[in-house]
Amino acid sequence: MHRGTLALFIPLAVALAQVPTDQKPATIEGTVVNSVIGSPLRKVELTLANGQISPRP
Amino acid sequence: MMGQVGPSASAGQLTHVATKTLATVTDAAGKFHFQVPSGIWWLKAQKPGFADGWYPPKHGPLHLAAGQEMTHAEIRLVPYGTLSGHVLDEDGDPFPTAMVSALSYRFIFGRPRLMYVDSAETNSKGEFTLSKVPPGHYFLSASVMRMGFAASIPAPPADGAPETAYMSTYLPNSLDVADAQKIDVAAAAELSGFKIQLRKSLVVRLKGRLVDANGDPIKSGQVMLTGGDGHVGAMSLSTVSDAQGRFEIPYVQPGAYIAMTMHTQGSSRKINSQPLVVPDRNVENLELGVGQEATIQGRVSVDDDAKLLPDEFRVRLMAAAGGGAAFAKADKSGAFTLEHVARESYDFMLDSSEGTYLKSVLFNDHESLGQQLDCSAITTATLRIVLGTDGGKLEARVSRDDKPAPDATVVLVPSDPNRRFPQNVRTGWSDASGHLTLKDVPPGDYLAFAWEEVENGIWFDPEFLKSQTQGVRVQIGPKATGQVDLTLIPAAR
Repeated sequence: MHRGTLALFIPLAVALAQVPTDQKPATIEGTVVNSVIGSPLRKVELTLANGQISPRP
Repeated sequence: MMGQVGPSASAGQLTHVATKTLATVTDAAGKFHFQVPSGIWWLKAQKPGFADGWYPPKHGPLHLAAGQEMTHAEIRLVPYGTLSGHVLDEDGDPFPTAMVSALSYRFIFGRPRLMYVDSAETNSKGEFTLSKVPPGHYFLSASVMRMGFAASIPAPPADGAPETAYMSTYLPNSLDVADAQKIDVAAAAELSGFKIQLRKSLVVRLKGRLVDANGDPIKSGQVMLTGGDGHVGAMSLSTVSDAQGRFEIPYVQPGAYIAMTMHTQGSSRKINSQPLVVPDRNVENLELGVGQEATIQGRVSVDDDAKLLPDEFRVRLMAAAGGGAAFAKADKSGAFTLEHVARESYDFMLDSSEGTYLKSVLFNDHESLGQQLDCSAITTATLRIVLGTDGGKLEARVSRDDKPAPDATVVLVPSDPNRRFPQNVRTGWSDASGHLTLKDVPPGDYLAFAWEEVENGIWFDPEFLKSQTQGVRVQIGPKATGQVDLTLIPAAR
C-alpha cells in the first residue's frame, strides 16, 4: 500500500473502531397506567426531549 | 425573600432548549418503546383528562448510556378531578358568563400565593364545570368578566350615589378568601352541586393619565390593576388610546393593588409597575406610567476564595407582587448594577455556585437575608452579597419497613423558624438505594424529613410543619458531614 494512502487509512480505522461504543443506541420501554385503577392507558402521547435544562413545571 | 437557584429551586421555569425531540404513542396495552442516542433525556406523557406525567416520576432527567436498556419504566398518569355547580346572582337567579376558577396555594419564594389552576365560564343557566383539576386543596371563585374598553364603560349614577358591583366571590358567598370554603379534590373525583352566590361591593372609578418620565402623555398603552389585599380574582384593565393618554377603570374595590402600565416605545415594550392604594371614593387625575426608578450598585464576594465566583454570575430581582423584574450580571470582580428598578418590593435570586451558600445580603448596610428588598422609597441603594464556603453536607438514608426507600422527597429545614427561608432549605430525592447527599448546607441545626408524597414548598407553612412529628434533628457543622437515618413518611391515602 502506498505510504500516503496508509496514512489516511489508519486514522480512519481508529475512528471507526471508536464508533460502536458511542453510537449504540439506548433503549427505554415501559407502560403508562391510570394511577387510580392501575389499568394500562392507550393512545398516550409520549415525548422524549434531550437537553440539560429541566422542562418540568 | 431570597432563593438560590440550585437543586432546591424551581429551575423548571427556565426555558428548555431541546436539541432533539422524539415522539410516540402507547399501544392498546399501554406500552411504549424508544431507541435513542446516549445522553440526557426528559420523558413526558400526555393524555386528555390526565395531568401530565414524567419519568422518573418526581425528578429527572434520564441519564442514558450508550447501549443501556431501560425496561419496565412505569408512568402513572393521575386523572383530573371535576368540579361542577352553579353561579347565582344576589337574588338567587342563574348568572351566565361568570368566570369560575379553582384556586390553590402554591409556595413561591417560600410564601403562599393563591394561583389559578383551572377556569371555565358559566353557561346560560349559570352552570359551570371545571374538568382539569389535579388532586389538591382548592378554593372556588366566581368573577364577572369586564374588560374595560373605553366604549363599554357605563356612565356613573346621575345622582352621584356610591356605586356597587358584583365582585369576585368565593364559595359559598365570601369576598375574602379567608372565609372561603376549602375543597379537597382526589384523583378522578367528580364533585358537583357547588353554588356560588355572587356578592356586590362598594366600587370606585379611577380616572387619570398614562404619562412618560417627562410627564408627556402616552397615547397608546394599557393600565392593569392586579392582586393586592388578597383580591386574587381582582384584575382590571383599561386601554389607553387618546392623545391625552387618558384612562378610566370602573368597578375597582378599595384596597391595595399593583398598577401595571404597558406601552410600546420605539421597538421595545415598556412595562412599569407600582403600588397603588385605592381609597373608598372615586379618584381623578391619577398619573401612572414611568414612575421613579432606582439604581442598585452591588457586589458579590466569596468567603476565603474569590476564584469560586463564576464568570457570569447573575443577580435577579423579581417583584414580590408579580410583574416587574430586574437583572444584572456581575463582572469578574463581582460588581454589578441593577438599573431601572421600579419602586416596589422584590424577591432575590442568585445563580448557584457549587461549593458556596448564600451567607449574607446587606441591602443599604442592613442584613436582609431571607427578607424582601423594599425598593418602594429609594432612588439609589447598595447590595452586598456574601457567599459562604464553609457549608456542610448531609448524608441521609431513607427506609420503609427496614428496606431502602427510593424516590423519597428529602427536605432539610432549619430548626429555628426565623431561619426558614428558601436559601437555607435543601431538598433532594433518595436514589434506588434510599441514599441522598445534600451539599453546601449553611452550618446550623436542622430538621430532616423524608416524604413519599408532599406538595412542593409546603414545608414553608408553619402549620404544616407543626403537624409533621417525624422530623429528625441533625446538626450540620462548618465543612462537616451530618448523617441521618430517616423513616419514610407515607403519603396520605
